[in-house]
Amino acid sequence: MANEHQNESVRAEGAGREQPFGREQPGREQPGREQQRDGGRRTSRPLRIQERGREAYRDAQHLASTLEQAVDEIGQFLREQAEQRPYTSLATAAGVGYVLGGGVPSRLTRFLFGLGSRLAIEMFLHEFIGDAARQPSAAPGSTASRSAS
Amino acid sequence: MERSASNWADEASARVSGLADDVNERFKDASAGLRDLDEQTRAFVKQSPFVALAAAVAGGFLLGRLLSRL
Repeated sequence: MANEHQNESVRAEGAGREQPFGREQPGREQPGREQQRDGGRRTSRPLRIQERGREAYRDAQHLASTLEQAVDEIGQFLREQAEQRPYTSLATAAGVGYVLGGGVPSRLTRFLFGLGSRLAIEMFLHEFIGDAARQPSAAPGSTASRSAS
Repeated sequence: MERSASNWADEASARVSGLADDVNERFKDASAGLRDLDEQTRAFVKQSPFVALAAAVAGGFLLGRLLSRL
């Protein structure tokens, strides 16, 4: 009698429980175990959990291997860059460290940035104006007018 | 008088020549030192690139830390 009552309660619990994929068939289930059709075969809840655990493990392994591959590629890239352009790589690394160290907001950096940008603008303008000045002299009309004068 | 001026010019010329030789020698030494430093740096970066990069980052970090107070 007590056993029957227990079975009833288990069945009621199983029927009221949330069913993730709508595959539960409470009428056929055994007491204490829920069953589900998964790709045509029946699996119990512990097996399903085990399956999910295996899937999670496989995913984690895949993620780990992908991360390892990415780290290897980054390492290979850094190694190649350091071998091909050692000073550029060192300067870049030092620049990263400088930025991380909070050197950017300092007055000296502002001054250097200002100086550098002014020089760059000046060089650009010089080149641009130089090109613009050179172009008319290279044009046929200008040579003709010069020869006529 | 003329002779003393000539002597003085010779002496000055010899001194300038000696100074030029000295400067030339020092430039040669500095050049050789820089070439050695360059070779050593390249070899070190080639041998252990990550240590070199980490050292550069650390150096830049310290420099940034120091200069941020200016």
